[in-house]
Amino acid sequence: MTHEEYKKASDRSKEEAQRIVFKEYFNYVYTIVFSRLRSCASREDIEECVGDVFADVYIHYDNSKAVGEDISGFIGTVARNKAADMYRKLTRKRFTFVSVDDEDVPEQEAPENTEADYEKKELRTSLMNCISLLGEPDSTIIMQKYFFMRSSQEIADKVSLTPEAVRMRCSRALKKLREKLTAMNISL
Amino acid sequence: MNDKEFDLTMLENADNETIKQIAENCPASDEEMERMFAMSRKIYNERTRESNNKDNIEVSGVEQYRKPVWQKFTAVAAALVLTGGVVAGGMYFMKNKNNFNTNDPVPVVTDPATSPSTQPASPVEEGCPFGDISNDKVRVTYAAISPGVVDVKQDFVKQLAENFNKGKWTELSDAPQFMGEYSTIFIYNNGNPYQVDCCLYNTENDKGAYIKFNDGKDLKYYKGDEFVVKAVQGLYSYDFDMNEVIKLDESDYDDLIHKVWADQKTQANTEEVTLPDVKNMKDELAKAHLKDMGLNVEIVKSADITVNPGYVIKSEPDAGTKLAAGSTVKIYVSTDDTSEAANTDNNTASAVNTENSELIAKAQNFYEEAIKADCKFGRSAPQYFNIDTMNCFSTAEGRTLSYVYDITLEELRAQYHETFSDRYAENDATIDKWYSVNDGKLCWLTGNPGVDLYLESAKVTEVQRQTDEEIFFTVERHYSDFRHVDIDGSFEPYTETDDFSVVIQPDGSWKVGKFHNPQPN
Repeated sequence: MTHEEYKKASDRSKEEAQRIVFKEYFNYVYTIVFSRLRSCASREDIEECVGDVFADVYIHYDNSKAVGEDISGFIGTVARNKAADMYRKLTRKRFTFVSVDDEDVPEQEAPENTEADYEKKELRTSLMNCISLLGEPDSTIIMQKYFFMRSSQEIADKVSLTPEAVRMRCSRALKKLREKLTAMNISL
Repeated sequence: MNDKEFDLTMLENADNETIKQIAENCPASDEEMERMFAMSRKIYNERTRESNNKDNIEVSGVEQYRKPVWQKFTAVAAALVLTGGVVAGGMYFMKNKNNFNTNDPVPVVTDPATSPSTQPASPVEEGCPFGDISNDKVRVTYAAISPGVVDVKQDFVKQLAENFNKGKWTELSDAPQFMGEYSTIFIYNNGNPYQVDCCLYNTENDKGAYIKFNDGKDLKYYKGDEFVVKAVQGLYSYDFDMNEVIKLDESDYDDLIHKVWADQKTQANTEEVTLPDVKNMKDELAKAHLKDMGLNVEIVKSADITVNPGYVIKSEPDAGTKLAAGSTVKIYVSTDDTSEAANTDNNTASAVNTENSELIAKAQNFYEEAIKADCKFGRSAPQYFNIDTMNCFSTAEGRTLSYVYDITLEELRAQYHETFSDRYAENDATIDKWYSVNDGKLCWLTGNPGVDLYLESAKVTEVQRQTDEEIFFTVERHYSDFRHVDIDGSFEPYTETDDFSVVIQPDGSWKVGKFHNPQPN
């Protein structure tokens, strides 16, 4: 969403405009935050962090900083920074706080300029490929269970199956996934 | 690594491209999104200090996020249609063992909670709200064997019932958030079956057990105290052999509550009888006596110089065993050498074959007992020992441990060696693997090693050799897709063999010698 589109919507209703932005980028922001905090944060913390990210995004739009630019890069940065801050707070380590209003805020994407990072990226790509090769709904079930740590009931609601069917499909899909990973020499 | 240990930690903190791919599976519900949108608005308003804006909102008063046409209840109904019926259909409550309506549709089963936020609707109740199941038939299922079920042994049912009956129960007004895996038990209830879902929860503020069942009118949720927790813990670690699994079909989900007990219909009116002792009885008399009791009889001629020809040496199963009418009993009858009129070699060979088959049968029983005993001290230990799995903790090495009370490591080892001979050093492996002393306290390695879905059977097939002190057998483990879990159909059945031996004690009893547990332990 460009700033111009946001401004037009905002003239009608600020909440409406914010809702559009929220809807457009929610999945992306939630995934970034969850990815960073899944090992240490509760769902409430994660939700608070997501809310915090979007609050900053709304303010950013208000300040007309997004004229003509692709906002997703900025949103990703805000999300990573906020998640990193919360991670540090939850794990009680001391680091310098970096304000997201700081124009010099560095890109907080996972660094991609080392050999180890490149290998990790390759592994992740292979892993994601193996998961997507399971087909639906198995790939969704695997991601929601083992990455997003959702219950069988919650997954069942999403994929329109019973929780028992979800568990059975999960077990079978996991077996297939393991075979694929073993064949590719990937161990988790 | 079992299903529960599998994790996609590798995807944490991933690069942008991977994040966008993962985001396609973002699981947040409409409710969650609405909550987070409201949160974002609240924080925004606080930061911008908007106070009289018409859009100023409290979290609870937020305009409803536009829900898609697909509504939650519609989706549940759609799930019912798509899957041909709900697994949880027909959960029944039976306080007074009365009949109740079996036609009510039942909502989809929910999962164990991690954060109970509900307040109790009514005071604490004593006594199990779904009745005393101590004399009932119970079957249990888990994700690993679903839709298959396993008969719960009667002594374990009594243990379960004892804890359920002793427990204090608090009815909950709202369904707690269930997450994770849980156990489901099916209660036969004289042909009016019902189903109870049990789970444990452990949060910052509280821990305990949740139970869910249908009382014929509504779905009821209860929270249980430490006795209920103990019962559910026992269920989680209930030990069974894979060949005990009663296989059901996916189509049985349509009416699982009844399909689970489909095999009971033919035995509905059958009474149980206790097998009498027919040793040293004349064969014809023993046969007539057993037939009068409604049992079928198979006679096996066997050489035994201590018993007069034509008289019963022993029965199989043993005297005192409870059997359903119509069951078959083998009676071993001493052979009459003159009446057999076969050549001596044939008689001898026949006697040896019979002896071997008896020895193998005895070894098979002993082998199965060895598996159970090994699991008792390993994966199933919480069922038999005082182990506090509710308060398990992680060590620096990444192991999850639970404290063990009321027994020392030496006592455990000694008990283990009541069954397992110390002739073989590897017979210490189970104790060494599962138990450790952490900060001076005995601990048990917490976790379920899973089941081997393809292990169909493990049978003692032959006597290899015998010494004065030890008898060596061959065990064949057969693997196949008998549970139909292999979607590709590419699994090829195979058989592997193990050596199994029994060490003969001075009093003639056996201890386990060479042994490999075919189950993950």
